[in-house]
Amino acid sequence: MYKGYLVDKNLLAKDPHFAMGCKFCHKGDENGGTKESAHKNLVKRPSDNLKTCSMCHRQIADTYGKSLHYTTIGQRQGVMKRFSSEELKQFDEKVFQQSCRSCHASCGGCHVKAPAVGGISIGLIQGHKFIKKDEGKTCAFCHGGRVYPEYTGEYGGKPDVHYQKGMLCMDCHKKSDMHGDGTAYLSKQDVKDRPACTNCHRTLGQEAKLTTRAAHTRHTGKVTCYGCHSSAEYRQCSNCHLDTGSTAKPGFLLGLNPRDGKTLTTLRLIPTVRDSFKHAGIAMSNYDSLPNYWNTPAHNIRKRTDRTRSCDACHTDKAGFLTREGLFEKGSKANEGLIYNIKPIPIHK
Amino acid sequence: MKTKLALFSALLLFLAASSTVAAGKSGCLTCHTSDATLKLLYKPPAMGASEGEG
Repeated sequence: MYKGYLVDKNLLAKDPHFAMGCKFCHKGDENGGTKESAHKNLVKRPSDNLKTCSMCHRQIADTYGKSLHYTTIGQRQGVMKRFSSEELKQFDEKVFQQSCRSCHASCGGCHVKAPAVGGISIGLIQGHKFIKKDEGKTCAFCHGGRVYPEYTGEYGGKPDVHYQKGMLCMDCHKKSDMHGDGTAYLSKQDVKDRPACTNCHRTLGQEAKLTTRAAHTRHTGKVTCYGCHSSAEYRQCSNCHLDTGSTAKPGFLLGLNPRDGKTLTTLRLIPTVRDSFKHAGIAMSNYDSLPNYWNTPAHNIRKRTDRTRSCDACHTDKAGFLTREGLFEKGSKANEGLIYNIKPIPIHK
Repeated sequence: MKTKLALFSALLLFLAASSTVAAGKSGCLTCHTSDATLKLLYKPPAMGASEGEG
């Protein structure tokens, strides 16, 4: 792992980022005779301060400062309705900055040194080269608990067909999604031009195969693409606490999207429990105002799944559907509103 | 005028040349470009309890 700190000396002459010397960004004492003295006042992540990169990359730094990857405000927005106003203040003071926001991505976290997760990082992505992208060493780390291994098949199911076709994160999640577009979004749901299946798959209702055309026509607006095309179990996390983290196991869930209350989609258990923030003295007075299951764009898409092969998988077997019995114990009362009572397909005489 | 221009260009060239070797002369790189030195100095980090966003 020490190799993660090894700078490629061949870069020094070619890359203008090195023109001002190491100390310009990293501070420290370049004349220090020992590791300790050289690292005194060291700035490990100089791009945490956007002004560092904005000296040359002004426009990107300006928009990035408002982007969700930098602000991570979506995490706060996602949970805040569970708090009273007093609890929200405590959350902002004691939890958000120290815990949630510690995960924010700096410029360097995508372009220079792989982000640390749980204190572990592979270090410099390419010897301190300033790279445009390397999803396997950047996105895969912060999003390596759920989405990325589900996408590659490492989590146990089949790989997403897009991965098999050679597509990585940036093929759908564009540069403007990462750098921001200047709007300070509060949630990823609000981001303009966020990835959508129909950006590429535009022939719904025109398929050559009649059964496919019928299935798409009948379910459009009622079921998301993931509802039929998510191919396997994905990670369900539960029982999260500030001091101990959460536990996880595989699962596949279908239910109503809590964001619109009417579309059937894949759901993921989000592990906030009633005493998640007990360590910070926050009881979550309005815990039941939000459910524990949220719509998830499961990144394990296949053309053919159990649900595309047979209508019975849903309409008769109800495979994977959220049920009252399956709701996790002592969960939010709002969870019951996500249960969808699917009906059998009527037989017309 | 021509002399001033020539002197100014020489100054610019000097600054550019000295800055391009600024990184090369940095003491930081004595360790950070040496595989053997880093291997000797490296201490593995302690594992944290946190997990990535996923």
